[in-house]
Amino acid sequence: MNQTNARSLGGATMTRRSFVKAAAVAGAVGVTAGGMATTSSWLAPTQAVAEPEERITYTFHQSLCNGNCSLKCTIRDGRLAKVEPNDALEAEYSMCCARGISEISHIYGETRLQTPLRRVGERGEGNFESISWDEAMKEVGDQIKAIWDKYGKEAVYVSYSSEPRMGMLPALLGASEMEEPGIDIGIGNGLDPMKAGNGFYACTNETRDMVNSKFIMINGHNFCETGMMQARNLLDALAAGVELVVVDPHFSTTASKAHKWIPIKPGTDAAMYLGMVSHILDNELYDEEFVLAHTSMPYLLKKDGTLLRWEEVSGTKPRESKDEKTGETVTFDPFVVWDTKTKSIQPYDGEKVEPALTVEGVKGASSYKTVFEAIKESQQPYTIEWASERTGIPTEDLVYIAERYATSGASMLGLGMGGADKYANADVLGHAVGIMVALTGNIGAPGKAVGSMHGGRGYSAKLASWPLPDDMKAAEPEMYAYDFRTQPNNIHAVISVGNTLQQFFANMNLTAEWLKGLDFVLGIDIYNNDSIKFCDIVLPSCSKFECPEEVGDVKCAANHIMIQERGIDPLFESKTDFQIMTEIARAVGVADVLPKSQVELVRHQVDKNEAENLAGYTLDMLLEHNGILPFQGIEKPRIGFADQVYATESGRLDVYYEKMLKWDQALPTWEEPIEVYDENPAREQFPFQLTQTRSRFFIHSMYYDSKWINQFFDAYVEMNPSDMAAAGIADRDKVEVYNDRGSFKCQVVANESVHPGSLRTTEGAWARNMEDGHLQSVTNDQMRERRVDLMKGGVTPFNDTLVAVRKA
Amino acid sequence: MTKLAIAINPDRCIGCQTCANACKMQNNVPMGMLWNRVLTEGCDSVNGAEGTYPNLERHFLPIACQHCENPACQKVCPTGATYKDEMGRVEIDYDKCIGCRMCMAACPYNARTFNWAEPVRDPGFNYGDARVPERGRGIMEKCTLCKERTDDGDAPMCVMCCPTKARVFGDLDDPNSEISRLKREKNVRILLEDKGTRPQVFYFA
Repeated sequence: MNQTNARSLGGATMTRRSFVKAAAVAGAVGVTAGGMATTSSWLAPTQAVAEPEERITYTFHQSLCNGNCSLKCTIRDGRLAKVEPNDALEAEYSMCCARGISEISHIYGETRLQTPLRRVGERGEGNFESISWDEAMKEVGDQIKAIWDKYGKEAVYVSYSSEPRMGMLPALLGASEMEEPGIDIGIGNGLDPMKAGNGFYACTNETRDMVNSKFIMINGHNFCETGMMQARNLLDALAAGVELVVVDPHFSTTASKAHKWIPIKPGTDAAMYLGMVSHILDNELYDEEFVLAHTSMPYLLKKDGTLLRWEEVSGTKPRESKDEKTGETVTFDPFVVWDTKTKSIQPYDGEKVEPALTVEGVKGASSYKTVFEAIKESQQPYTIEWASERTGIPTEDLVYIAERYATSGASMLGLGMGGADKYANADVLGHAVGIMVALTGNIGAPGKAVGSMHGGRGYSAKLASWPLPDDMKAAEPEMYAYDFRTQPNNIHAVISVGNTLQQFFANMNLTAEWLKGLDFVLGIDIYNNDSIKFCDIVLPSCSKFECPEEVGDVKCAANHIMIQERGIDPLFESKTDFQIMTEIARAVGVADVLPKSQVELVRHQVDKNEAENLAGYTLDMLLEHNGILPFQGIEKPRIGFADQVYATESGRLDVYYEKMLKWDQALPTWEEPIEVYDENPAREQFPFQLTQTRSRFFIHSMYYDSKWINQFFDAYVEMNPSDMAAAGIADRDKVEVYNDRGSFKCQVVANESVHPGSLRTTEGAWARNMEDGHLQSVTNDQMRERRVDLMKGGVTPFNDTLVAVRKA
Repeated sequence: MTKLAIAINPDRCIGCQTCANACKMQNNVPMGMLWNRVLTEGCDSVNGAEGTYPNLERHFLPIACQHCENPACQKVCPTGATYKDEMGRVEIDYDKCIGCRMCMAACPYNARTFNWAEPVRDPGFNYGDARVPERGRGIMEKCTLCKERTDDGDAPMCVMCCPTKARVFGDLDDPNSEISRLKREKNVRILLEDKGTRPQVFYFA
């Protein structure tokens, strides 16, 4: 077997994409529309070739993208020739983008993994030999079983991204698994506990509702690029006269559409909201009726900062109820309020109780204060002037947005995952936002919403799950994956599904060290991404355009149920996600619990669904309707929490986080970023912030290798021309960006849109896009101790990174 | 008569380049060439802006053949390869094109692109609409207003794929069409109006 570098393997002969000149179209010759015939066409003999064989199929694009486009594909002579929006869709939902179209080239690209690979040489060097599927799967089976025998099933960790899709794999293997450790949960850690969200802080209304808003504020969220398929909703709102303010350190495309762009100092967004909250409180711009009825702000707090409960007041035993799902008995000791009617402490939800918002000076409640009063106290240092100084936003701008947000009548706040989320103080930001929402009641009604908007955040629908035996369950890891690298743990093998080893971890050199010490690393992806070089065995998966069965997959997204129909055959020696999952299951002897085919799985998922909004839908119906059907009942945009019922302990917006008391974050307390604060002495050596924003050209690390995307954009760093002049760097120079953790070299582009003091690049660039080194080698992976008590653990503060730059 | 045209609302353009790739795909446009591109006004970086931080503006300008009523390209074509057809489109008869590039020099919109060498396609086969004629080395090409689609009454591919619905396609000779209404009622921008080319494509806000 030839020893080759994986990169060159990716470029080996591609037999299925050879030129077929014979397919030249007969229409190329003939009479023009003008009616003139030239001699050359007149005399040209009829080409003796068969008409190209052409068929139409429907699929959906890969799931890492929240666009969720359903696509009509033209397959000609066995090749993907055209990608366009699914024509069965209403105009409102008809979509595709430059990336989706670029797939007609990208799927045949030189970075495709073509065969299974086995590492030769050291792990991390990236040298592989091509092997057969039989050899690969024997090795995978042997390795996993050896780990099982030695350390137990949970010693295998499935590092799982949204693509490739093999959701049953962790359960099949009994492996440890977690969803995006440290990613996209920074703000959610602070915002979601009060409304019992899942930590990913999805916008509470869908974006079709934007038009019903009066005032939309978008913060650290380049929605027009990262929510490209729903940007139309924002543009419609603007056309209807809705006011838009964008807060972002950089002049983003979204900022360029706004009535007002407010530049902010990176990493200080929490300070902005703290200042806004103070202004809303000081000027009594809050909605007292909403606050009393739907939030925990009237609840009484004890001197030690814990919430007073009814048993302590009255001796009444906690209430008991039965959990409908588990059947278990649940107890609940109600929170209490000061009832102004009876002038006594009463359960918060007592009938006819009229709670007081403040109890200061009230006889009988002197040992207590309300959560509202506690907020006022904790807000004392956070004046609007203080916020202005921290954020660099003029006081009058802060006053303006606070007042517009509080009093517009219907305000919406969009928060992104690629900007302010990626700092260690993002939970403080999320919590401050939540308090502002709760004070103003901007949630649960048309035009009133908060959260991350990309993907449109429409309705959901649940497909049937394939039943696995009860004992087949994924294991809960003992810690978040970023801690595997530095803390003792029982993980000895990693299965990276997608480009997770590059994408999920900052400080890549540390990640590499950790991976070197493992017994086995398996990688699965379509492309030779930067996680592949760390793997022992690599399995090539195929794109969503490649599907050898009548049906390949199904998903519910963008208010529709959609399927992947038969496409082109898997290219090279790749296999579908389902086939690979089955191969792995077979290699360890558990494949008998799986469906025998993709069609069988999808038919089960669709035909056995019990979702009210998919009632009566079957796979056959989908096949008859271009592979897509709308959910039922989507005429009006989704409005979350319209009933003002939250799945929190008290059923209201529980804004006070008792659990975080020991970290002084029961209410949001300002905290500087770890690295990028102004006074950091390290700035002398490393004066610039490095931020990696998300852009319209990529989805995380995807499409960096797409030639049709590279026409418009490639990976580089951008700097403000004023910084470049000071550093003696010219436009398009090669530069080295470095800090104590690592360095990379690439081109620098001058751009006035970039916040002075920041170096900006796009998230997820590969080593191949750089002159040298890796973007992820410099990124900050430090975390605050309180992460152990945060809803989704710590956020990896990718943008909280200081660097220096010099001409390379 | 029919006078087909596209109207573009730059306020709705987010610079996503979908129209550029949609056109490239539909019309089998080779690598290194585009019939339709999205410029960022006043700068040479796609994410750039006009002005000085923080006083900035960013405007995207999608640009392709303007399908002029008085096309400069047609005037200079020595063989009649470039012609104005009965639907109001500026088209090229590839069989008549001798590759002299007079039209390329004449077009003030830089809308034309020339096959200087054997066209390279990635992927290495003819993609897009099978009805679109293949062009070889030495042939001039540009936006045809998706002739093969618009002949059949379909909108051009850039219009169909635009994710923000920034483009409106229609017949300017039909007073009841959406595009005629826009031209009448909106604040209309014509590119390089002083050149006298009388573009049918227009921009509106």
